[in-house]
Amino acid sequence: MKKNIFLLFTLFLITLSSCKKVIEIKETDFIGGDIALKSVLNNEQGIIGAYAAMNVEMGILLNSVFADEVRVADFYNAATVHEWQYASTDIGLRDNYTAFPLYYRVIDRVNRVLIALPTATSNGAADDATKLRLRGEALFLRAFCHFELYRFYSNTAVGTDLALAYMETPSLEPQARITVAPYFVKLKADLAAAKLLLPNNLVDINRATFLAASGLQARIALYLKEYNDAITFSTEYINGIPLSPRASFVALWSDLNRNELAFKLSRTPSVGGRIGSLYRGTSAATTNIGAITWKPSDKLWDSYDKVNDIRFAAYLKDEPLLLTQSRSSTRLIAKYAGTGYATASENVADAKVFRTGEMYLIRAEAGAETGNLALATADLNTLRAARITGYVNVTLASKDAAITTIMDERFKELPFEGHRFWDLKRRNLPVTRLLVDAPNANAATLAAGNFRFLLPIPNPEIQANKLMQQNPGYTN
Amino acid sequence: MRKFVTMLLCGVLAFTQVSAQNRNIKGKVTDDKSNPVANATILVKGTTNGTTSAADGSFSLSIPSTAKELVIRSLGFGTLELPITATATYAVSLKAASENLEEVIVTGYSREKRTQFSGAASLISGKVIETVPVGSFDQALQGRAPGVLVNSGSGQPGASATVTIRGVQSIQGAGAQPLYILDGIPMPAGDFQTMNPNDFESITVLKDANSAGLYGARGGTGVIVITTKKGKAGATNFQYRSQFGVTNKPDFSALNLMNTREMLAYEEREKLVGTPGWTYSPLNPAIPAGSSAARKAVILDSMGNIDVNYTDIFFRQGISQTHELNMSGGTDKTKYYMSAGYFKQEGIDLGSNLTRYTTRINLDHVADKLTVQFNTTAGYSISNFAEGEVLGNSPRNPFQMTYRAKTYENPYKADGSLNFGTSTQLALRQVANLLEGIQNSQRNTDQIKLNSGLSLGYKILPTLTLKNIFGIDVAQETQERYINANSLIGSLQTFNSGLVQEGNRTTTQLINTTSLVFLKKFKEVHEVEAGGYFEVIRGYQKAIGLTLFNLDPRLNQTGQGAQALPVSVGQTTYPQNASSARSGFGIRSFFGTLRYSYSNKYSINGIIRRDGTSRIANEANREITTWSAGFTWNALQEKFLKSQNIFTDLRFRVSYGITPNIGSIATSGYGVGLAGVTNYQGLQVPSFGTTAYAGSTIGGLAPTTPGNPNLAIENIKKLNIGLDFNVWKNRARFTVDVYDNRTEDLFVSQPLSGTTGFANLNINAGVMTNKGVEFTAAVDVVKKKDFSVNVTWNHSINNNNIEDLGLVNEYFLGTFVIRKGIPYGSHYNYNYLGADPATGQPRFETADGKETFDIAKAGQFAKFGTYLPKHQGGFNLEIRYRAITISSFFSYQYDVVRSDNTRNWITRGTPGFHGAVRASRELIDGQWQKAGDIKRYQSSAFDRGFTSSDLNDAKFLRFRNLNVSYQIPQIKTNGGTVLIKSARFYVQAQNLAIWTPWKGIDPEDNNNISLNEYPNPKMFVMGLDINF
Repeated sequence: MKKNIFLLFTLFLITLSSCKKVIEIKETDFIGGDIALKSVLNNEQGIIGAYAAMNVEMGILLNSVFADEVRVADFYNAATVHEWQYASTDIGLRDNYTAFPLYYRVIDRVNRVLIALPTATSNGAADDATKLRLRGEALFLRAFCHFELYRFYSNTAVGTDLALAYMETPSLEPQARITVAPYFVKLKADLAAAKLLLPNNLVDINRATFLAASGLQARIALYLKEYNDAITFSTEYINGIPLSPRASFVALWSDLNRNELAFKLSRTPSVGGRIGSLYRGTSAATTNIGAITWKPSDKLWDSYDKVNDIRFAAYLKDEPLLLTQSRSSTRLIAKYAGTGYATASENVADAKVFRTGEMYLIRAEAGAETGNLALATADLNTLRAARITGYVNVTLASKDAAITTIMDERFKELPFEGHRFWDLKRRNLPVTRLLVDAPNANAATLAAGNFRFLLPIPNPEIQANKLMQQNPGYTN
Repeated sequence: MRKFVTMLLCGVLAFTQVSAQNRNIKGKVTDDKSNPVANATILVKGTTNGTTSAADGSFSLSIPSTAKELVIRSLGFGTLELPITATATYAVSLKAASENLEEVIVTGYSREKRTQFSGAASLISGKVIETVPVGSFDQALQGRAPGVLVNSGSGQPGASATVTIRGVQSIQGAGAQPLYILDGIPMPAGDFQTMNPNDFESITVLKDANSAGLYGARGGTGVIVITTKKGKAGATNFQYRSQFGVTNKPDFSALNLMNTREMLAYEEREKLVGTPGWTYSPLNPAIPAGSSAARKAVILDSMGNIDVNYTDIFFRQGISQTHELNMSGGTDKTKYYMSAGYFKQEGIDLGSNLTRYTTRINLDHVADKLTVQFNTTAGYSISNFAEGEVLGNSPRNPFQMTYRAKTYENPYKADGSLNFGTSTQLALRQVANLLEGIQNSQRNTDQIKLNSGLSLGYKILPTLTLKNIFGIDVAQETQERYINANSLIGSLQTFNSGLVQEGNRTTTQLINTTSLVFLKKFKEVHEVEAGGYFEVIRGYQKAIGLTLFNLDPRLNQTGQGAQALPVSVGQTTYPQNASSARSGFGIRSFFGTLRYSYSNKYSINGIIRRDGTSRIANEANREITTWSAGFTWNALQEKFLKSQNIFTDLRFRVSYGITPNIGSIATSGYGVGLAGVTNYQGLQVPSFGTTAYAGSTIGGLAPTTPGNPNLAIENIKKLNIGLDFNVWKNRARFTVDVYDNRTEDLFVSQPLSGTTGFANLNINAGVMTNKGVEFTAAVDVVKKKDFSVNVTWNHSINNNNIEDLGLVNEYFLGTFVIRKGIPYGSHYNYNYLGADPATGQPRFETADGKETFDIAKAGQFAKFGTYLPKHQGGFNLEIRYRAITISSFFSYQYDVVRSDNTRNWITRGTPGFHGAVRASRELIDGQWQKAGDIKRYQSSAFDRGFTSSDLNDAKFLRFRNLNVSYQIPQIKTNGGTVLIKSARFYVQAQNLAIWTPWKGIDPEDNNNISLNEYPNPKMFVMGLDINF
């Protein structure tokens, strides 16, 4: 019996001795608190984390589906967005076009780096140089993301003077929307500061460069109708990177060269995903081409000189293999087709963010707007000559004719790159689909200035943030 | 207890009238299986005159002629009172103690007399669950106890039910399951698929602060205490138990889906672009490329003749069987119960099944002042899932495809092989792809489960007991997912050649409780019990996971032979495909209990405790002190009630206390393959995770949670008032409880503005209340030797309300709103008013009560009800005639509204939805077509979205279980040797019928929305129990 008591007593002692530590058990396996952004390398990892969250695919699909670049193909399950029937709770918007948290997430990531960077432990000159570059990238990404948010949710052309909140530091507090003017003061300041710190070369265009900043400045100036700035910055870009030779233009889209590019988002099958799958699923075999969600609109298809315009071959494809597969059509969007059907990199392509072609069209439009029709004509002709075999120069008779021609050229030069819907919005034009392209007669036209040109502020955001104002036309 | 007191009183009276005339009687005491019971006490009622039974159960006793009744008692058995007649020989058959559950409440730490118990507890006999053919026993608890909401979300064999005791008490911990205690050792809620419920003797649900208070911070959402079977002194009893059963295919007819002809006609009528009904219609002038008008007609006609019944293709009749052998017995000092079991159940979903092997040993030993209890169970289970079921909302989920797949898709080629490949609206291959996926994928979880506890008690003094309980609970899970390389589904994986994912996780929990309890009775009427407890709990988790791609097409279901991974052009790094993590937590508690009882009439008790846990990051908030107190009044002990003869029992209970709720502290996780490890502090400290950008060789780092350093433990203030009363000589027994629970410092997952870069943050800001009434009744309508009728019924009402949310007034969670002043789980949606007769556009209510056609202008409302039923209950009718017993059990829930996502899809009526799902027949007559139509559903040219039109009443009355059994009498050889002591044969039907207005497959679910339901299947089982 004494043994028993001894046993009990021993157990009791074991229990007592372990009790002090038991409520102080720490999580050992996670990166958090003070250690996360400790060194310069950790900060660089933080910036890479921001690039990892970067996304232009959402805008690419939006500008196709909400505008007139695509039509319904094998499967159609996007009625509310394709037919403009969305409210702030729309599931189609929620699942595919929630730019709000997406870009603020990138902004939060770079803001954390901007705070940690000054005190990050540095191992000498190389680290000090990296610190400057990282600061430049952080400011560039902050500006880029705020501009994307503006493109989704705001635009003075369609009746709101409100931009969004410009986040310069991580904060959990509710933020109010600010007006467009102070928003762009901050945005331009960030960009100007970034430009001086970014590498002024094209060694690594998977990350931000000096010319990427020029490209963004040109694009912003165009949206803000600050046409002289648009000419200045697009010229900077054009002088830095020429147009692609026609012979290598198609290869640009399968990433065999990097013509025209100052900044792209690198994509692999496992990291970043397949842009091409926005329009067509991956294939099981060449005899079994993936399901086509969107095919090119007849409007776009018929706009090209199919023989001489290299852009037709680069962007679109008439696929005879589909004839034998009981498909609704043989037309495909091929811009991001990647490697062949049923191969590892099918539908994989880098996301091109800035391209010389766009810069020519920015300068042409700015030229027309500032009364410099000669500049507009020259840029349009240069671009077309680079794309079309046997191209004969045209003259632009008036500003209006120039603008119409340049808008049509943007439609042909930049489809599936995230411009069309926003171009129509910024110029206050309607979306006009051909009847054959429209899913039904009600969804052929979105009138100019319709409130749905601005996406609704997502309902969860309205709920979470008392200071948030909904866009006109939507209840919360 | 009342009987005991009565007996004492009678005893006092008896002393005054001792009679001279005695006679001898004799007899034999046996249990219900005819085993002799040794050491049973046989007393003449009201006297101290008695004896004990011998080893063979026999006894003899001299009794006075005035003696009227014998009282026979034995440990582990109920008390039997037997009238004394002229005969001199008595056969006494004692029933096992489970019949006697009402007398003792097992709290896990102690066994309390019912008369001294002030809390609210429901007792469920192991009998109601042990034959029910479900893999996880918690599913069988539905409707069995008031205030305990048990809803099963899946008919997957072995799936756990969601158990909610007295309403959702926490927003953050809304899904937090009660604490399960198995013979004193805690056990996770989700592991019961590897437990044999036949080993369970009884289940006690502790619902109020006082009874659950012993568990402190772990018992916030209630405690379910399971006691397993014990051996009885006497001859060794063997029992063999077996079941054989079938599980029926589900019935999808409630969806009222169109057949092929109807679908093609509908597509033609609505001119739905891209559909075969319109594409091949003679009314459609367009001729597809490479076709002709004649060819169109041929295709349309041949398609119209295909009408596949997908229920037959996707589902099967599942077979289930169980075998079990147990033995029990022992001596006065040492008793044992041992069992070994096998359980196999096939699901209705192809490829889903559960196989389980279990063993148990329970030892009880008493030696002088020492008591020892050793309970151990070990189990191994293999759960196979259909891959699609795991994927949820996916065209690879057969439950979803049953109403999505078009009946004109023929999944087979002429040679019988699957016609899989790229699916388009005109050449559907979805079903073939799904079947191909099922054939070429495997998803399973193997679990090894161990739960073991050793309890040592030592009586230092007659009044003082030192006790230590040490327990281990371990679950080791291997999760595997295989997709064959040489298949269509395999070709769609990254690197186009199959996929292997494996995860392995070990979850361990150790508990040690040391206590010193003083118990003494003074002057016969004052009883004092005081206890001091010290308890430490330590949890560990460790998991490893891996992913393999590019598998060897010659092999299936293995990672062996996997090839190196190709890299993209310019790629210099590659993401890791293996991961591991560990974590753990500790809980330390000191607590003291004190009880004083006066003459069994009044009893008052209190508990005070201090709990600390490492799960709170902030040291200042790590420990919390709480208390509870209870009072009970045994009214029939009062003199002024002695003369009444209505009540045979009347007790009043009240308890109040504060229970902290550790289970609601939100955690984050480390993603580890298929397994995952809990990060207990991840949401309280700003944390970072790794990420990758293909454009850099440097790994990315990204914040994952913003952190909230101020987080404290939320606590629930619980008040319970209860009344128990029996009338009609205890043949009618009633219990009523009312409660008022108030959760304070409620964790509010405050949604954050998108500008923060995060979705939400947990803060202690809210107050939530649950108020309710619970009622149980049990009536022995007929109680005769050969014939008895017993009816039991329980009903409970719970009213939940969110009183305060701190800074915010409301926020959203899925399809419902969390709003001050309304119950948790209230649906929040647009109010759909039907189609506009003139234009067919959808009509919605605006916030100011007007109408609009544009959903962007419509208001959202919270007036549609909640998905948590306000009323629930169950009733059981048991009829026994001689050896035949028929027991039928019904459960019901009402005042509940669920969102029917399936119905939304099949009645959406737009080209987009019609392209993706098979529509309901309701659209044929219910959809607007031309001006003047007054219809519920809008024109196909417009969309009405996800609105109130799909919020439906989900009340139900379910015929949950029917059991007909026949007690086979003893079987002897010619020579008189007992071959079989007793046996029972039964047939049983589970989920036999349901009555509900719900138009989906199964109104019962554990969530707010119905989309991919694995319905609770109908099962038929026959079983045999043999004692030998």
